[in-house]
Amino acid sequence: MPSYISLSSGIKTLQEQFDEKKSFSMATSKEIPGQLTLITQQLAALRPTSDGVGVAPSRLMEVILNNKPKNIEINAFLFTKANNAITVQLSGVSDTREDLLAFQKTLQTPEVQTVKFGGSFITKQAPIDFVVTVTFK
Amino acid sequence: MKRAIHLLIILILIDLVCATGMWFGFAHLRDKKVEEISLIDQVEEETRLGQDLLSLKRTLLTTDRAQSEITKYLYDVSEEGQIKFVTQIEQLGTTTGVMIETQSLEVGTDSQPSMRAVFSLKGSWAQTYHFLRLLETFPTNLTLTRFEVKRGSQYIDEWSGSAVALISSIRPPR
Repeated sequence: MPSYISLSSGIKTLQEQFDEKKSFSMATSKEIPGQLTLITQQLAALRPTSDGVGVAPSRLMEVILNNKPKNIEINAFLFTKANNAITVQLSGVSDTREDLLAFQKTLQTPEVQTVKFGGSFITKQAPIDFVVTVTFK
Repeated sequence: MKRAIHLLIILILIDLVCATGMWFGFAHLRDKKVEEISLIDQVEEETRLGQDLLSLKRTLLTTDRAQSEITKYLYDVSEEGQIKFVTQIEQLGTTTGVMIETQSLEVGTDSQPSMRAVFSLKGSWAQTYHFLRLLETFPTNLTLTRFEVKRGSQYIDEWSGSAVALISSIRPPR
C-alpha cells in the first residue's frame, strides 16, 4: 500500500512536469516558424532575380570603349534590358571608314548576337556619323 | 474431524483470496511502474525539445542585428518606403557629383511587388560612370532596365540621360 501511494504521487508529479514542459514547447514552437519564415522571405526578396543575362552596363561600356579605335568618338550610349535580352545602342563619329570597319569587327565578340549599323557607311564622307545597335546573346 | 476439514477449507479460501489480492496489487503496481517509466521518458524528451527550442529562440534573437541590416535594403510600397528609396538614389548622385532628378516612381501591382523608378541624370563622363557603377552595386535587388547617356556637346565633357531601375526587394508583410 505505501509503495502504491508513493508511486501514484510520483506519477502525478511527473504528469504535471510533462504538461508544463509541453505547454512551454508548444508556445515556443509557435513563435519560431514565424520568425524563420520572415527571415527566409527577407533573404528571398534580396536574392537577385534570375532573369537570364546578368552583364552590367558599365562592364559593356568599358569593353566597348577600351576596344574602339582611337579615331572613333562615342557621343551616346543606350543600354536596355528586356525579356532576357540586352541591347546596346551607340552613336558617335568616326574619322574614317576604315576605323568604323575596325570598330565593327571589335564589336563582334562571342557574346554578341548581332551588330547592326543604322545605314551603310561605305559611301559616307568623313567625318561619319553612325548609330550601331549591338544585341547580346 | 469434520470441523478440522471446515477449518482447512476456510484457510484455503482465505489463502486464495489473499493470493488473488496480492496478484492484483502486484499487477497494478507493475502497470503504475510502466506508466512512471514512460512518463520519465516523455518528460526527458520534452525537456530536450524545450532546450533545443530555447537555444533556437536565443539564436534567432542574436540575428536581430543582422536582420536590421537586411531590412535596410528592403523597401515597403508605402509612401515612406518610396521616399526612402528615392532619397538613397539621390544621395548616390550627391556622392558622385551627378545631378539626379526623380522623374517617376510606380508601384507594380503584380503578384511579385516591385517599384519602377525613372531618374534623369547630368554630369561629366567620369561622374556618370561612377554613378552607374554605384547603381549596379547598390545592395538591393535592383535591375537596371534602361540606361541612356548623351554627350551635350563635342567640346564639353557633359553627359545627360536617364536611368530606369526596377526594385524587387520589397519587404514581406509581417
